[in-house]
Amino acid sequence: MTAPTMTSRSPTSTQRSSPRSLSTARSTSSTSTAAAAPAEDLKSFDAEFVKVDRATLFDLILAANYLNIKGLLDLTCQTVADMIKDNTPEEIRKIFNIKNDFTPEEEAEVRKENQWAFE
Amino acid sequence: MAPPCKKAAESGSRVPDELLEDIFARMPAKSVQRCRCLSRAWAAALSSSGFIDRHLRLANRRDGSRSLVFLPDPDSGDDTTVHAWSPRRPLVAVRRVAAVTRQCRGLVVLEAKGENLLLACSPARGHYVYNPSTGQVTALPEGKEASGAWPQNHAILGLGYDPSIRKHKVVRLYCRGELPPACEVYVLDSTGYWRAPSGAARTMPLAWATNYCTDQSVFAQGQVYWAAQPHKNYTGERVVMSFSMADEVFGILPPPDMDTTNWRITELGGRLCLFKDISAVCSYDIWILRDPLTGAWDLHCRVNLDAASPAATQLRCSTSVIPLDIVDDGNRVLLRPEPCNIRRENLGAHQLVVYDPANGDVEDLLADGSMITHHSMTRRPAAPYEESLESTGRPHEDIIFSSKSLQVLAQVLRRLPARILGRLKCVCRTWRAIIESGRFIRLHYEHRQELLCPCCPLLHAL
Repeated sequence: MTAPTMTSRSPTSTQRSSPRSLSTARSTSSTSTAAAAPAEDLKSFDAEFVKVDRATLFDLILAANYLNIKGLLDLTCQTVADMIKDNTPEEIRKIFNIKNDFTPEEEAEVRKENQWAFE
Repeated sequence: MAPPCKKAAESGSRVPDELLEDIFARMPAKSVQRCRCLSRAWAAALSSSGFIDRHLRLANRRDGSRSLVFLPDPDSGDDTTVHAWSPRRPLVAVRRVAAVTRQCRGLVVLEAKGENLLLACSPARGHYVYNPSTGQVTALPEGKEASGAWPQNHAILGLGYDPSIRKHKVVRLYCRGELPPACEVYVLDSTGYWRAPSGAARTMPLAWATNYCTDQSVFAQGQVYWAAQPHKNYTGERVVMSFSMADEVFGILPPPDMDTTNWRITELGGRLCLFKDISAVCSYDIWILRDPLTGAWDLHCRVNLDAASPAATQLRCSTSVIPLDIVDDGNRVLLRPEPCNIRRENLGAHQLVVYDPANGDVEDLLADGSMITHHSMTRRPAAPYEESLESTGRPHEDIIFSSKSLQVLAQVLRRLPARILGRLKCVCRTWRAIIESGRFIRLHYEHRQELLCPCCPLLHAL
């Protein structure tokens, strides 16, 4: 697999994560031509692969999206979903830099409509 | 070198919104509800119907298998209270509930039994549509009265989804004494009242559904299915009765050719599944409906109970074996054998096994105890569970009284005496729904009370 041409949008992250994700793509594609690896081995490989810090994980998501590697995208998105599923809205805003544009009344109403989720 | 927390914050903000939506679609429904409070744009995006469909798909298939839930048993004294939660209304507890349908895109219909435990034969108290992953509950309006000897004085409900209008429909079958059974349909979040099926032909049930207390109705491949009997006295070979969500017509499916008439239905891998009851048969069959139009069945797997295989030994000790899911890319079947006697102190009471039809192996999932995290789970049956953000709809009276013109109509009608209102019920369905609703009955009564006050000399005959 040859290295793709970089766009100007996020060269740094793709440069940093491409070698890691490219080597994964090679290892998974080569197993499809040879005998398939046992499911448990692949699962534990996947679990180890995503044991990285959050910044690297986001870079992997961006790289997988750019290189259109669906399996890696599924794995990394699921990992991040599992990491943040118990966070409060304030924590999630901080992680993804989302601006809170609700007025206090609007926010109270949205919280009331979804009140069961906060119990 | 930037500090780690700042670096993480910077990289998080570079994740584009469509990828962030992909991440949110994989979280449990409760977490998604919290994320609706992030910003206005996210409140809208995470409530759109496209996102709800995507969430249904992505949050439920992890490693190719579904989650299981361990169900409480109302007859054993477990607390089966759900708290009825609707926007802008106080919390109400609904007690002694049991699910009468399987989950359909996450929603399930509950029946609340009355507080009186001794009167098992009295009609159940009420039906509710419930989403266990968001906790939202909506009461269904009362349907026409079912009459007859037990169990015919209980209506049988089915829940399905019509993708053409993107709404759930509840089908209600009820008996009318000596007359053949009838049917009515309630579309969630639509008109707020029950109506007759809209199909061109075959809109009356073609058989007598025998589900009550034995099975839940099943939704698969666009149809709602019940086990049914051709005759009122429960004679004749049992059949599967279907009701199409799109056309709203009934159909009859004969069961596959088997050596027994004791079978039950469930849903497996998105298709209707029919399986044998274990007692007095020589093989345990699981059949799957390949095509609803032709009624062709495929034998998915068969366990020969007379053989000395581990599967036969395992299954022979049970009264019934229920298939729950197809796992490992369609290679193995997850089964729930129900033991003959469930004793509270017997920790091995309920079981979960995975059966491989290719080599006949049986794997006991509960054997090493790693799946059980609470002692009460061992006494409870497991069932497939679906995370979903689907709404259960607005309460039916809110729907009826939502339009200003109908509110004005109610104010006009409340001034009329009851016998005239009886005639006006025949004008159309909407007028009848208004006149029969609890809110209108209260309005009408309050108006009567105002008229009877001492300062008013006229007393109207009611």
